[in-house]
Amino acid sequence: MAFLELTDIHKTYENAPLLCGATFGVERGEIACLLGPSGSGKTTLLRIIAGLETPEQGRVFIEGTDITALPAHRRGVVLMFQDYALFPHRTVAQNIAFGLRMRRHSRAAIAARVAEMLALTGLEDFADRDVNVLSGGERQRVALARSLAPQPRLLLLDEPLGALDRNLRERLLEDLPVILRRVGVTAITVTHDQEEAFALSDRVILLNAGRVVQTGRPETLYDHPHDTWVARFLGLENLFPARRSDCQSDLRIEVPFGVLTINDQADAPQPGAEGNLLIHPWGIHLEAGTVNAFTAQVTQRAFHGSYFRLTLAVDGGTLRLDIAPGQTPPAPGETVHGWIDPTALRWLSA
Amino acid sequence: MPDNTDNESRIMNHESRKAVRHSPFAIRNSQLLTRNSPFAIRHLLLVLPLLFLLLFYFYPLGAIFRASLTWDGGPALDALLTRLFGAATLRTLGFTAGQAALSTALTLLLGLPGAYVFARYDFPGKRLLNALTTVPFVLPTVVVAAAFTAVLGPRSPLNTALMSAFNLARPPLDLRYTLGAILLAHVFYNYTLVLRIVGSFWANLDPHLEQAARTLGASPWRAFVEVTLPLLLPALAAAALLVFIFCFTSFGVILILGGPRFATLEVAIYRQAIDMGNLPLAAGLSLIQILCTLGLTVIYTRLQGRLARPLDLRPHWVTQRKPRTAGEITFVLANVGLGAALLGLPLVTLAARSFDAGLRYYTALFENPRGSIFYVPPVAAVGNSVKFALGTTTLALLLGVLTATALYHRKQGWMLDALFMLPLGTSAVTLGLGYLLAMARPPLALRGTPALIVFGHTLVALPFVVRNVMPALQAIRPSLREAAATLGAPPARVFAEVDLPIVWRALAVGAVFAFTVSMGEFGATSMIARPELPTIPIAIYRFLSQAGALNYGQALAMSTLLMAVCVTGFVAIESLRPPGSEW
Repeated sequence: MAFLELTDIHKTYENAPLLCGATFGVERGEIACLLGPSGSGKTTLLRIIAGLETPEQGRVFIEGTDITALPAHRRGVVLMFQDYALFPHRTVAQNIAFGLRMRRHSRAAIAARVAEMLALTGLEDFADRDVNVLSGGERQRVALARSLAPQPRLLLLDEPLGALDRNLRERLLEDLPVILRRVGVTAITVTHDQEEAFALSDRVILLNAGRVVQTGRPETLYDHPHDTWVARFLGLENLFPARRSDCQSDLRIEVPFGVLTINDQADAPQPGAEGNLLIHPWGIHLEAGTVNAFTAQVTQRAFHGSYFRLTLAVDGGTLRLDIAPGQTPPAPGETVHGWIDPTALRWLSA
Repeated sequence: MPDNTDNESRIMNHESRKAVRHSPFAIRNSQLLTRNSPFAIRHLLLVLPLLFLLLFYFYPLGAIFRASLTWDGGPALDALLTRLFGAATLRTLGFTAGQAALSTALTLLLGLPGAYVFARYDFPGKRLLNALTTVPFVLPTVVVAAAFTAVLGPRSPLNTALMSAFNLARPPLDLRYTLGAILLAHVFYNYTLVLRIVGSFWANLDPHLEQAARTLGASPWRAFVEVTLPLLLPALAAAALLVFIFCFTSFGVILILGGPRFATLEVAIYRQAIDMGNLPLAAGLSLIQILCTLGLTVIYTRLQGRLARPLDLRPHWVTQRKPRTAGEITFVLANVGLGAALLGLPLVTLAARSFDAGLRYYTALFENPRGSIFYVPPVAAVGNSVKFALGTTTLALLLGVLTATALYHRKQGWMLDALFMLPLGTSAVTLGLGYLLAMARPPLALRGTPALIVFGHTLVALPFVVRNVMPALQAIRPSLREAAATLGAPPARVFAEVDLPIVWRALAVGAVFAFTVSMGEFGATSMIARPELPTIPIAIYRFLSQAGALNYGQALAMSTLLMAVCVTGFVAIESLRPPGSEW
């Protein structure tokens, strides 16, 4: 059994199902990320793990112990809120000391741990500051220090970078996992931003409509999404309705603009099966080829600084791909010939 | 001044003043208008209101100072001082503060759970209930006192039930003229105050703060004590101090429900002035009263400034949810039930018992038997009250619009603004005493005239009109006026074509307030009304202080009529208020 285990969690909100059978586990020391569109129930899952909400059905285990009915303050699970929820009537140091006081640490132990946390988050000079005058980034670090101070068994972070502006966000996107790994805490973050999810976590737990649709390392998810919803959510756009030919001996897939050969043995569909085909943009080559050759017309060309994004019209859809600016990209209106690397094709069940 | 008008006005006073200071419109308006309109005209608008304030507020108060400080005849002064600072005064002062403290504690105890329910839960009927909690604000103290005699007296529904259940010959309970009755009536008036002040603050408090404390290891109780309570403190202190001030200056409730055994400073002033005719002693007591309320108000203001904390306030939809568990539903129901019973039961009992003898109590109002306590049929009091109220409404509207128009755009307007709010902080009995002393001789020999009653009521009602009209004027975007001006409208025309159509609702609300305040005013009127010119509250008080079932019945009938007028006014206010506005 994993360090944290959630089984078949159900929860309704105002008579609408919010979570319907969410099941997943998180290993000790892992930084997991709950990713999903808004309304997919990820924050509610976090609140259930923290003990702020009770599921109508399902269990929560930590280290094999059922904690579903345990009140929030006895779980050793700290939730860092998106708005940080710093206590406005306490100084920075008093905020950080709060969880230690609740655990009845000695005065000296509290002072030592607070100093340690201030150093860890680079807030040494802020101990006696009023939290109400801090900047967004400083507030975020105080919240992190306060959450880590009592050495929680599990740290939950709800949209930890959500309240920050863009520049700060990018800097903290690098800092946050460094601090979390240095402490070695098991953590679950929640985000709706896939870039943030990929940068922060060892493993992504993808939620849709109250269910876990896929879990795995970020690169795995991206490389092989479970279905078209996952592909679209991750921003993979080259999707075509597809059908495997009836022939048993080869892996040939019929798509609207031709017949493509696929390399993927593991997920190969049954002959005659219908589904969708994902074409990773890195597998599209605009040069004459022998396998999976195609002809298309360029409809758009957009310059993005480090690359050009081309949109090609093919029968039944469009292909999008990025090419480095060193090459001369074809102009809109031009007809191009190309081929698609069979290793870049993914069969997705319907 | 009756507690009800007091309560309401202070809330509005506080909130609107905040709005005046912080509204960006206020500053833009002021720049616009000082540029565009002649300085002198703006000042001329204030002449009439200021003159009114001078003659009917400062002049009478000055008379009290004069009467208490310059007493001609040496030995008499010694005697006065001995009495003023003697044991009786100390006892009165002690009782005044003691009952106020007890009332405050009881109100907080009952009101806090209610405030929590209103702040954190969303439940069916909440809007309606919220509107109903406004009722105590418009109900005259005399009506409430009469209602509580009906609930707590020997023929109350509870006694009737107990007598039939246990076959008793006499009613087992008579809570009239007890401290308990006074406390209950004060809770009735101030429960809503706690609900509003603490509840609205609590409703905007980020629930994440308490939840963060919970996940950091604090038990629910610990999280409340460590996080929620300190953050609620300014609202709690404000509510507690306001309740204390209102109970400290309570008059009608103590006079009627307390009976002869109990006297607050306010009641002592009335008795010395009216029953004993000892105006100098009354003036001395008034001075003590003024100093006490002034001191409390200063503490209140300082406390607020010191306790205010910058808070990230949250909209209601973030902080409120439906009750889910059986425990939560029970808690919500219990508090809603308590509030409804507390606010509704006295009023329903009052109305019901006024029909105890069919319509007899009502028809008796039209008779004028020999030896009656009035010189006219009691129903004449209704006519008097309506006349005074119409006069008050007209005068208060006139002066109120002048004041609001002159002040709403001023950057430094708050000092004048505070000046016009002063009558609210002065007890009505003190005001009445001032009139007794000042208006007895020229230059303003108005004592005993109906006009003086209208002036007194106007003084009390004026702040309500100003409080309602000024924010409405401030809310009009200056560009609207500028547009009208560039289209060729002269200033008067701009007011008629732009301001008036927008502020008429506020004017109407102010008018209804002025009308109900006048209809229910008891403290000042009781000092200055001539016996043959009674108002409804005076008539009710006289009926209540006479023996006999018919007298009591007529008091109930008249209270019910007055309640009907005030509730109609309240419904009018609720429906006229622009949607979404809170006071």
